Amino acid sequence: MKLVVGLLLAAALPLSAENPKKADSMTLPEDLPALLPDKPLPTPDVVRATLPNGLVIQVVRKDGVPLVSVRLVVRGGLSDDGPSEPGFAQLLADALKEGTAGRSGPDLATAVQGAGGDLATGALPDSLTIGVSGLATKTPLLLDLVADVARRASFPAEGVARVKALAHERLETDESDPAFVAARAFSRALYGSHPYGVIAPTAASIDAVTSEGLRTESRRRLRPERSLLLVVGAVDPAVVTAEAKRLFGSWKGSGEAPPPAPEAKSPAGTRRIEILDRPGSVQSVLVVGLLGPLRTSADAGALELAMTIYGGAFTSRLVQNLREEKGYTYSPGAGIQWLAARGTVRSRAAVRNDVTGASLGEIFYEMTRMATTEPTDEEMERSRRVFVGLKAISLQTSPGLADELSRLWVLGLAPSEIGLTTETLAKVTKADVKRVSKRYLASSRALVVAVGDAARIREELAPLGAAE
Amino acid sequence: MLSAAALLIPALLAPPSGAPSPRMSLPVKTRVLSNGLTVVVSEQPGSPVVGLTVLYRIGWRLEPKNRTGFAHLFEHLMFGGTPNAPKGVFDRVCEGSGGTNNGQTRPDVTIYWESFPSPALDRFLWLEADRMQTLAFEAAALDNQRDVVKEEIRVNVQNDPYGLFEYQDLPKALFDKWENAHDGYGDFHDLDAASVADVKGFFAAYYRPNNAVLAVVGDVPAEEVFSKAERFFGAIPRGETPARPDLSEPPRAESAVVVKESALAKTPALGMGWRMPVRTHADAIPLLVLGELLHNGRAARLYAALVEGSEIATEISGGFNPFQGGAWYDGTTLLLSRIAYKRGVPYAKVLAAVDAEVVRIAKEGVPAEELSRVKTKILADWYANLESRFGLSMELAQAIAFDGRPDGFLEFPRRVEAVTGKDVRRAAAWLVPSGRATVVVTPLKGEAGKAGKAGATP
Repeated sequence: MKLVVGLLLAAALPLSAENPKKADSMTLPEDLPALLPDKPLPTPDVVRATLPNGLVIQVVRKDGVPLVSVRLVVRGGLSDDGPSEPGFAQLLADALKEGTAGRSGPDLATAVQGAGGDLATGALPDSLTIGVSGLATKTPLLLDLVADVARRASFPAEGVARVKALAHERLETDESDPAFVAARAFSRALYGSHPYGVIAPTAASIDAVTSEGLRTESRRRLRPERSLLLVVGAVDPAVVTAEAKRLFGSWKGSGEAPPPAPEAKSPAGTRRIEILDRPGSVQSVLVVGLLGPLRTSADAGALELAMTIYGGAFTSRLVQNLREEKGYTYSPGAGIQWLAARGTVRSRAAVRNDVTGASLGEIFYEMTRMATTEPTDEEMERSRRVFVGLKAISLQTSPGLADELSRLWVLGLAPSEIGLTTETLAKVTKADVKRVSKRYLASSRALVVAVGDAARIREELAPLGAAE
Repeated sequence: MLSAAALLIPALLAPPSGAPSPRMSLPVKTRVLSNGLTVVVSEQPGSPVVGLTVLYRIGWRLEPKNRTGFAHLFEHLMFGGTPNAPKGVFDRVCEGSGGTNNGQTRPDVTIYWESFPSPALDRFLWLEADRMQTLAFEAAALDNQRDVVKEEIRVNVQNDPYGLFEYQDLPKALFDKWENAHDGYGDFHDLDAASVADVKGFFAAYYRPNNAVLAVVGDVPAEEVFSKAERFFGAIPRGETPARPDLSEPPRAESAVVVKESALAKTPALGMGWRMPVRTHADAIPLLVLGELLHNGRAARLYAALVEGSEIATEISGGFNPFQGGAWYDGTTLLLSRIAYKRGVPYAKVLAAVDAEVVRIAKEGVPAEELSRVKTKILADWYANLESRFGLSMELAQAIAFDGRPDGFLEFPRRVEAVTGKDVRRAAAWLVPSGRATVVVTPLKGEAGKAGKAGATP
């Protein structure tokens, strides 16, 4: 009894050497100032147009620094790759920079430098992007460069050879990374033969790439009716739109457009554990997850909050449990991957061999706790702050805003979705969070991929359902 | 107690196309509190986000001589808790307010920054003032952060095939003064020797308001920030900060080469550096331009000559003042070239190819069009760095720390624009072979012998 009273008093007393406050990171300092009321996220003014050939144009005037970001986002990306050509889109994206009908690779680099920019191309499961940034005064040149690369890439033999050599090197490096090996196996096991099942090329598919194949596929895949031209920066939208019409008005694809990826289906059945052997590993990498909803689903807002509470932040349950309390791992985490035909909801952790089973047990425990009990008011409030704060921070810059707008477009959402974030999240209830957790954090139906020394971790994972 | 007037700076560029010059308005106000803390504010309307930097004018060059790595270790301790806010509170409050934060130790300054929604400004001012007031100074916190720092060194340095030789070996080969030559990551012996008394001494000497700058950028009125700064930081006592020694060094009289083998390296790489003049020297900005012209991107001279042209090398990076950026440094800095090259190529051939390019610039100068492109790229990168509010707060804090006022920083675009072909030719004279120090990292001899018959060394 005395002990309890003593502790209560101590907590209320100011700190002194004789009577140290039993403070911890969960108790906030008393004189810490309160947060002022939230300010809404500003909604960007997006000027939109659609050309007769189907190209969608979005321009945002953003004053401040005299810079501009230009992106051409093409739907498709890695999910356009057929079963015989895994990772082709990645090589296509790289090879676009190797030259056009009128400019060699070095010419492109020189022109981009003169605009103060960097030319970046890349492929994701749902999109292929050609992006360049630079001084706003150079906007006509930057638009011309993007149009030139998208419409007239030439895939010269020496450039393609260079891209293939780099792809082999990257694959070799990636395969030495257990996190990559785990992610690749996870996608394969979850999606099966669906196009999302493949996230990278193989040595054989790299070897099979030819200039001719790249030329044909670039004309077939890169086409106006599946593309968005996005321009964000210190520019006049009317001038940019007129220039874009001139450069892209006569653009058209050839051959038959690749079909959009069909909506993915959850694999039937219950929990599955796959172990990939990496002899001699001192750590094992765990990936645990399920198929997620569409971003257009009514569950999206509640799921964002649920995942922030569960494992998407430093102060989340999973991180506090595995890192702060148990010390099993340095950087566990969880998140949602939004894809146009249903992405994933997954947790990941790299843990010591001897706590592999214990860690997976804790992950299942935290998933189940989310699915069976409601979060606290404090967790709801904190997760809203985390989500909206990080969004506001990332939207400060033109590249950040361009990223968000291109993500929304790829997922089939309007630019106004950015501004709705705060409002949507405010309506989410604790019951909503529990309801979506029950569905997407269901440990009984989860797929588990473990990459590590199989001889040592198989036994660890047996009590959780792994085949012995 | 001094307040500068707001500056409205046109960003001067002369686009050859005749298009209008881009302009960037950058209102900046500064005030010095009675305890010596300089507060600098740039009001930016629009997005409800604040970038905040607290800079201490102490980096790894002035850490104690038998305590290499101490400045960096200390940076970690700034996150290790205070009597009012024990370990974990900083991160919890930061994240719970929707913010992000980090710290960075550089040669001459240590920077702590945060990005957060503006309704949380008071909280972050409170947190920064709290750790400027005092730290926990506990042995357990020191041990804990010592382990974290060692792990960081294991991952970043010891596990890197080339051991980050530009941080570790190159300064040692290039400079004479201990401050310039030692390794800022530190060795484990020195880190182990660090005591709580060292931590207290370092804090009392360098982590005082009169040796610090607070920079705030966001949708908050400057006068409001000044009064809040007074409220949260005003009572923190000033300290006695030691005078800064002269860190300048004249160019090397003769070249130096260090060759080392690495079990992790699959292919050879080398780093070379030259000592640079003081940052107020007329050649400093031309050297920055020359560094960019040689190194940055596929259009750079060394890339064209060594990678695309001759197949000697596979990767080129480097430039002027690489560890701190821009032209912020005390005394001297280095111009760095880092080159990954092919097995079987003697390193002397790589050096000769670099020298040939530098001699060409010194003799023939640089075509006006190329110079204009390079300057455009430098300015675009400079602006891109200022677009985020924490990026701008960090640059403003450095400007105040090095110059005492933001004027020189705000004139950076004009100073770059003013560089002529003649200036670059003159700058090239600093990159003579005799003034150079080189560190070569090769795969183990046996391995190199198997793959490259010509051998890894000449």
